[in-house]
Amino acid sequence: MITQPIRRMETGCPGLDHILSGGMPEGRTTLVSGTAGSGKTVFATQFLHDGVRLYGQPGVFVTFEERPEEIRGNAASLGFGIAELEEQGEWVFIDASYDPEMDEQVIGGFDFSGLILRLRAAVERVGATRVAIDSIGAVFSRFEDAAIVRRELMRVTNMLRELGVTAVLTGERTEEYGGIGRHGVEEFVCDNVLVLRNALEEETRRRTIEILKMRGVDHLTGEFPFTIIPGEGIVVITLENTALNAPSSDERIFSGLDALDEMCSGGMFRDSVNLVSGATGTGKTLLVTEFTHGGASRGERSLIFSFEESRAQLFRNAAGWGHDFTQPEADGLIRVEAAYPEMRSLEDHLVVIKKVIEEYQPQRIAIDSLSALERIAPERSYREFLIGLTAYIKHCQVAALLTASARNLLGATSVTDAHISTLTDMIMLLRYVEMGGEIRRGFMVLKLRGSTHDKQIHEFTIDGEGMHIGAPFRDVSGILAGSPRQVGTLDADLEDITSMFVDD
Amino acid sequence: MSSQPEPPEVSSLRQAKYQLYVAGRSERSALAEQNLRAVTQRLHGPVQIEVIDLTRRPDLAEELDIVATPMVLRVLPEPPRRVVGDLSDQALLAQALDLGDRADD
Repeated sequence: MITQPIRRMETGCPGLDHILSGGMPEGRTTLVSGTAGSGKTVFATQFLHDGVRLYGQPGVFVTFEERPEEIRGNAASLGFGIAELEEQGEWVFIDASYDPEMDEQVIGGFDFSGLILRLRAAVERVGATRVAIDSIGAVFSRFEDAAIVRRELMRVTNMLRELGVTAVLTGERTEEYGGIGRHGVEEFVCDNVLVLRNALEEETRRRTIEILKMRGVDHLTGEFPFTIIPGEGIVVITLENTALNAPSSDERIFSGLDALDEMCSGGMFRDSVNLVSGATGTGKTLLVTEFTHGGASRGERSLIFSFEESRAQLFRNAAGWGHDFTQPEADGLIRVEAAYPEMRSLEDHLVVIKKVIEEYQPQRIAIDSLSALERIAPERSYREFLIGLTAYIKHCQVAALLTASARNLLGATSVTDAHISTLTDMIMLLRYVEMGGEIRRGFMVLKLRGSTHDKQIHEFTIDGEGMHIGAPFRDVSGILAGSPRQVGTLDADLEDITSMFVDD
Repeated sequence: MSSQPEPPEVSSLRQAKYQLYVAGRSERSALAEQNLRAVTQRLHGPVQIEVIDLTRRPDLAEELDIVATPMVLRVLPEPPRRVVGDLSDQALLAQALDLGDRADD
C-alpha cells in the first residue's frame, strides 16, 4: 500500500489529464461535485465515452436522475454517439432513475443490493473498467433516510473498488464556494474530489475545474478554466507543460521590413511572441500585413486571426498597401480566420485557435487584435487566455505577432497591461507624434528578449507600398509620454529626467 | 403517500399475488418475508407469495429496475404496486397494499 504508487487512468481530455498529473487514480472512485449546470453529467458521459473511443475500455453508466434516452440525446448534441457504443456492447446503462409513474413506498430498513447486483452483473458482462454514477443528489431526494443512503453508497463504492474499476460519482452542491456537497456525506464516500464551477463573473459565465482532494496522489492545485464544445465535450485549458522546456531557437526570421530587422539586430526570433501596441490607426494591421507578406515572400505559411476586420477587408487593405494576398492564399501561404469576438467565449476562442494552428501548421501567426478579445471577458479570463495562448505559441515554436490597442492616441499608457508584456519576447510601439502642428508617426522597439536592439524612436510613413521606417526623431523628447518637445541635443538627457517627474 | 384507497372490491375471493425480491438470505430479507406473510394472512381468499432471490436472478433486478431491496411487488390485484424495505410497520404495509379495510374482519 505504502510503496505501491497509484496508477493513473487517462481520461482522454489532455488538459484534465495534465492537472491530474496523468489521469484519474485507477481503481478508485472520484466524486465530481458541482452546482446545477456546471457540467457534471457531461463530465461523467465523456469519461465513459472517451474510455471506449480512445482506450477501448468499456463502461457502465448508472443514472439516478435522467432517463437513459435523455442522456443519449444530450450526448448526441455534443457529438458523442452512445447508442452505437451500446450496440457494440461497450456501453451499458443501468437505469436507476425515479419513475414517478411507479408508485413505490418505503417501509422500514432497506439496502441497495438490487443496484449492487445489477452493477456487478453489468461490469462483468461487458468487462467494464470505467463506471459513472450520476448523480447522488437524486438518490437522496428519492430515499428520505440519509443515513441509510450514505451507508449504501459506501457499499456501492466499496464494491467498485473490489471490482477494480475506476469510477466517477457526481454530486450536487448549492453554492460555488461552500461545502463539497449538499448532503454533507459526499466527501466521506470518495477519496478524491473534483469540483466543477460555473460562476458568474462580470456578467460572464466562467467555468472552472479544481481538484479539491486526491488522497496520496500528485496533482495541480487551483482552478483551471474549461469550456464545453461540440465534438469534444469538456476541454480544460492549461499551460502546455512543454512550453518552458521547448528548445529555444536562435534563428532569426524576416519580419517583413528590412528596417525593422536592422533595428532588432537581425530580425525576430523563429519562436517568439511579438507584441505591437498602438492607438487606433497608427498602423498595427499594416504591420501584420508586412509580417504576413514577409513570410509569404520566403515561402512561409501565415495564419491570421482577425477579430476586427473580415478577410475581404484585410485583403483590400493589403492591396492598398501594395501587397497582393490573393495569390499567396491560393498557394496556401496565407489563411485568414475572421470572427466576431462575441461569437464565442474566450475559452472557446482559444480552443478554436489551437485547433486551426494544429490543422494548418503555420510558421507564422498573427492575432489582430487582442484588445477586441479583451472586451468580451472578465480580466481574469483574459489573463488566463493570454497565458494559455502564449504558452501554446511557444509550444508550437512559431513566430507570432499580436496587436493591442493603446488607449491614448498620443503616447502614454505605453503597453496595454503589465501582464501581457511579461509574456512577450518583443514589444513594438506605434505612436502618433504631434510636432509643429502636424501628426507624424513614431515606431520603436521597446523590448527584445535575448538580443540587443535599436532603442531610438524612428519616424515611419505609410503609402501605397506599405510601411517605411525611416530615421530616428532627432532632438525630440517626450514622445512616449505623449508630449513631444523639440529640445537641443545637449539638453536631451536633462529633459528626459525632468519629464519623469511631471505630473499628468 | 399519493396512494388513494381504492374502492373495496365486491368479491373477497379475488386472487392476490405478491412477489418479494430479496438479495440473499439476510436478516432483512427474512424480516420482510415474515411481515408480508403476517399482513396478507388476514386476507380472505387465495394468496400467492413468491420469494425471488436476486443474487440468483440479477437479470430480474435489471428488468424491473430494482435499486433498493427488499422489494415487494403486488402483481395482483392490478395495478402493480411496490413497497421497499423490511416492511416492519405492518399497519403501514396493509395500507400501502390496500389491505386496510379487510384485514380486521
